Amino acid sequence: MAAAEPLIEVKGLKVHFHTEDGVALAVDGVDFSIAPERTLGVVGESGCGKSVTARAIMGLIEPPGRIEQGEILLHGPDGIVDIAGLDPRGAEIRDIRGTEIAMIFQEPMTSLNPVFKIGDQIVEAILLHENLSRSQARERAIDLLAAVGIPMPRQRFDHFPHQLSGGMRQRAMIAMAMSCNPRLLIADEPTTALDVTIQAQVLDLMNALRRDFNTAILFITHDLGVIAGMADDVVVMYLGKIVESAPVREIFRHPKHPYTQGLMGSIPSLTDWGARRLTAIEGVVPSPFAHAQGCGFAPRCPHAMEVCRRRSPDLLKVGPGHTAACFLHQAAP
Amino acid sequence: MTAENTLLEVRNLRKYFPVRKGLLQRTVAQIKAVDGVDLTIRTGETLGLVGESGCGKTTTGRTILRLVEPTGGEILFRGRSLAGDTDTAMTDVATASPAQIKLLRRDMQIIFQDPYSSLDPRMTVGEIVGEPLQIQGLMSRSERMARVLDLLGAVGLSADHARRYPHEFSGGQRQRIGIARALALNPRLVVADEPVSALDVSIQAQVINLLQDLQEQFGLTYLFIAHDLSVVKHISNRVAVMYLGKIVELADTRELFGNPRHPYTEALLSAVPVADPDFKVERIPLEGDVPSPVNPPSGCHFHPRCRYAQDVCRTEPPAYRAVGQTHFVSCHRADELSLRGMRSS
Repeated sequence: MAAAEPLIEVKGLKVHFHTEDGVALAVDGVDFSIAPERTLGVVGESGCGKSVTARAIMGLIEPPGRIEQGEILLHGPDGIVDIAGLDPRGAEIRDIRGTEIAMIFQEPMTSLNPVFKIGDQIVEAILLHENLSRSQARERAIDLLAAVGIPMPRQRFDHFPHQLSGGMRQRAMIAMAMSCNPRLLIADEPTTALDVTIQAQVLDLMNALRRDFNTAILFITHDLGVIAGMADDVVVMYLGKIVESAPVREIFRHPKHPYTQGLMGSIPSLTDWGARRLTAIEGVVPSPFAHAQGCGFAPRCPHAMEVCRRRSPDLLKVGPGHTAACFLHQAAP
Repeated sequence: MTAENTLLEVRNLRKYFPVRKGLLQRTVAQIKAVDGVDLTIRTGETLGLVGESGCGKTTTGRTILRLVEPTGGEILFRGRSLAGDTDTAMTDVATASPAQIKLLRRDMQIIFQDPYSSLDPRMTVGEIVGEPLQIQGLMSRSERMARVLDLLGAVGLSADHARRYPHEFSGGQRQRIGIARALALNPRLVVADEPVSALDVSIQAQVINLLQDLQEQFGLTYLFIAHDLSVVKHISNRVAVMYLGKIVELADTRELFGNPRHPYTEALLSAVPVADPDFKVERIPLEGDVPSPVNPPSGCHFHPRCRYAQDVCRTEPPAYRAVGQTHFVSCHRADELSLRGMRSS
């Protein structure tokens, strides 16, 4: 993770939602960076703040949500831009979306317009950012459809989203996201809605594109199996905070945070033949409105100590490139 | 013919849904959602049923319970006498009268995938869990309440939850409510239709552990329908793989995962992401999507996506046959192919 010049740096990011029920601390102080051409996997369960983090990077936080604090620094050839400080409806962020950062979502049907042909939607994305003629853009779109493995791209160009299967739609979404050669691709649960054999096709495609386009990827998922196959580095999120961060092999071999250990114990193994009982994490994720003192995981943690209920642990180094926010691995304060 | 320990025997089960078109709503085609399924479930075991969306696994589960009317076939089930102490002869659920069905409901229940849509938002948890007892007219009001509290305790909820409404609960807790309702009548067979796929990983593990504990405690038999192969491997004694309305392979769990005999099973296993960054497996690409069940391919339904397909596969439907003591497969080439299963790590 510690490359010379990161592509993007998130520093002290806090995104809060001001609702009638109170203030939800959706993202509550998150730091990470992604180097060019690396894939950072973000793992966590519903409500941990992983999608809100991604939306903040895209400049897509809308009221009642608000970026309260922090910076999202995009390093470009012309210097550094702080996305967190841009007007979400301004020209600057619109310029960044698509050309610098693109995003694909879990359910492609909600992000493709059902009344336009998929080819025209890709052409529109290209024309928005690049100075090409319509016919040049059309050829580029057809090339992209071919590059993402859509058979008969020239015919598929004129199809509407509902005429494609789920896997094909996700491929079309990826083609659109890659249309302007973004330096960072944010993929938010891109294969969760797909069947396992189709998921395998889409993951293979993303790995191939990553090599061909030299794109960095922020890959958000709840599936540890997918993370193991896709990510170079992993951050684990819980209740709006990063609880652990490490290179992929390190985090799977030596998980340090009890939450990460709990997640790994919760998934049945495909390769282990012993009849082992799953070590489930007790209890449920607390409400993001609660704002309890201390470590957010303490109420569910089998190792919780007295200090964990009083103070919130910092994310500190526990190994090479490996950080964890847990008092078990820190000298007594 | 039927072994002593057989709880359920399904023979040539079929369910076709008509495709209607035009002003007169004439039937123009049939969707063969379930197209000749044979399987047996033994008392006390968990049979896993896996397959991708649209393969017919959910319809199979619902047809077995007669929540969906079968088009044809037999569903032989060993129920209990009214007193509940002795087994009855095998009853054919497929042709049972409404009165018989009502009795069979005491022995066959279902847990649904979506814990949000499967609970009536206007009933309290106590009413939801007690409703099966009320419908069957089995207990007085006070006995019923006592039973509901027992059930809530058994699934890890507390007595004061009985007065609350479903919207006050998280997804995992709602699934516990659904499980308590399914167990209210003390059934023999529970069809669990994707019971954990809507839940977060840590909650999923809690519910899987609960299902296993309850099985031991109440001597339950499960038909466990899921698309997640690692969950199925964990919970099942035997596993059946479905593709386009048919069972293509069925074997003991260890045998099926370690030594698959059907090319579809092999491809499915190779596609599952393993939570180990050093586990490198050569994926067997399955080209294209699952074909439409309205117009399935000729011969073996899997042949257009099968890398071992030969001429015979395109013309002749393969027979579903035994290739070992407890291993069944429908593939023309099962005897000559050597397929790759999951290695242990």
